[in-house]
Amino acid sequence: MNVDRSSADAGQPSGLPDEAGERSALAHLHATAEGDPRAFRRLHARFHGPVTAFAARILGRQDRAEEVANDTMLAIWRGAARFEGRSRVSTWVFGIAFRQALKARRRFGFERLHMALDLVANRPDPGLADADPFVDADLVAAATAALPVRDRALVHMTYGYGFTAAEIAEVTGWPVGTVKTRLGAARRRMRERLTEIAR
Amino acid sequence: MTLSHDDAWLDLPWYAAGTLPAEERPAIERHLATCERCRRELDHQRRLVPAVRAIEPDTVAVHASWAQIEARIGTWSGPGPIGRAVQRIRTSEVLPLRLAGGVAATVAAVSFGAWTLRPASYVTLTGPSVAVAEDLRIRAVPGAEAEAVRALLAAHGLVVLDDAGSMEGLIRASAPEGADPAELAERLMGDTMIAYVAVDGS
Repeated sequence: MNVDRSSADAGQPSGLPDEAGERSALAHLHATAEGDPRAFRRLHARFHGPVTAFAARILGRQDRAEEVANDTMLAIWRGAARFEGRSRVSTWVFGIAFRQALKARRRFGFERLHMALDLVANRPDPGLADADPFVDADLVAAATAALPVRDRALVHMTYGYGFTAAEIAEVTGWPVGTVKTRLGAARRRMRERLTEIAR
Repeated sequence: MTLSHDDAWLDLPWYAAGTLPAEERPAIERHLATCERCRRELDHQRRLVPAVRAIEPDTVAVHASWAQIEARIGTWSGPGPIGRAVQRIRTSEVLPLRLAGGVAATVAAVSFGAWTLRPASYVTLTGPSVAVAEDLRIRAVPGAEAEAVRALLAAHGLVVLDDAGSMEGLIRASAPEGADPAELAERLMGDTMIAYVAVDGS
């Protein structure tokens, strides 16, 4: 599968390694599997930020996101030897983070993302502030906040992190067709919500 | 290859984000040339990409986290000899096949023993979801009509266990038999009347 990520209009996906970074992450993962804490520290430095931001985006809680990121990093330390090289290291790491985030959601409950909704409520004139509401990150944050957590993760992986549909299938364990139709349903809900907010 | 409208529409997010595989792009481009609806949707998708990327900038203190992680792995001895043996078997770098077979058999025996002795709460990262109890704790958004909340819960088959009448505060409700409480909780969160749902015992 040939994907040229540099052709994206909005630049590189946030925080994920490029091909050279992937090779270096793989070397560090192998060394981590041998018990090398310095290699693990490199992996931590590379992935902890993106994983925390990912968890914060889908859970809406920074404190919970940091716990998810720490649990993900520990799972990498303990499970480095289980990486079989069938996917990119970053896809494998995000798969662990996705499952840890769902576990955290079960542990802590579901909470609506009031912060994102408040941002919209506090806008001076939600109907007139922008000629095109769809380019406003605050509005899009509010629209994604209303999605179920799995769909919110899907939106961030697709648009925010630049994962292909096949990579999202690896992360979530869903078939590629399910990834596409599920995102299709989320897109329709987001569009409805954006129209509602802009009204 | 000709792409149906529905299939093209489903692929537009990845086309807009630049992550559709190169071999799939020509079919989409042929469809876009003839479909006004998909061209308009593509414009919308192209605006979503930078907007989603601009949500919540990464402000994590990585160093603070490392200190916590380091303290926690201090009590963990690393993958250990079995983990390292498994790694070597996978990469075929060190052990000859006969020795690898012996180690694999040992690993299998040890793993089987560990599996049979595991605690009831044992879960793996890739295993099925943790079993959960059937009660949910729910909080409606402030100002939600009690009758509307009650009707919503009933529509999902939930039985309210401690209904004080007002439906304010934490509501405890029982999920219908056979329902997955986590899925049910997620569906409830799709309604704007509901502010919080947690699954008991998880």
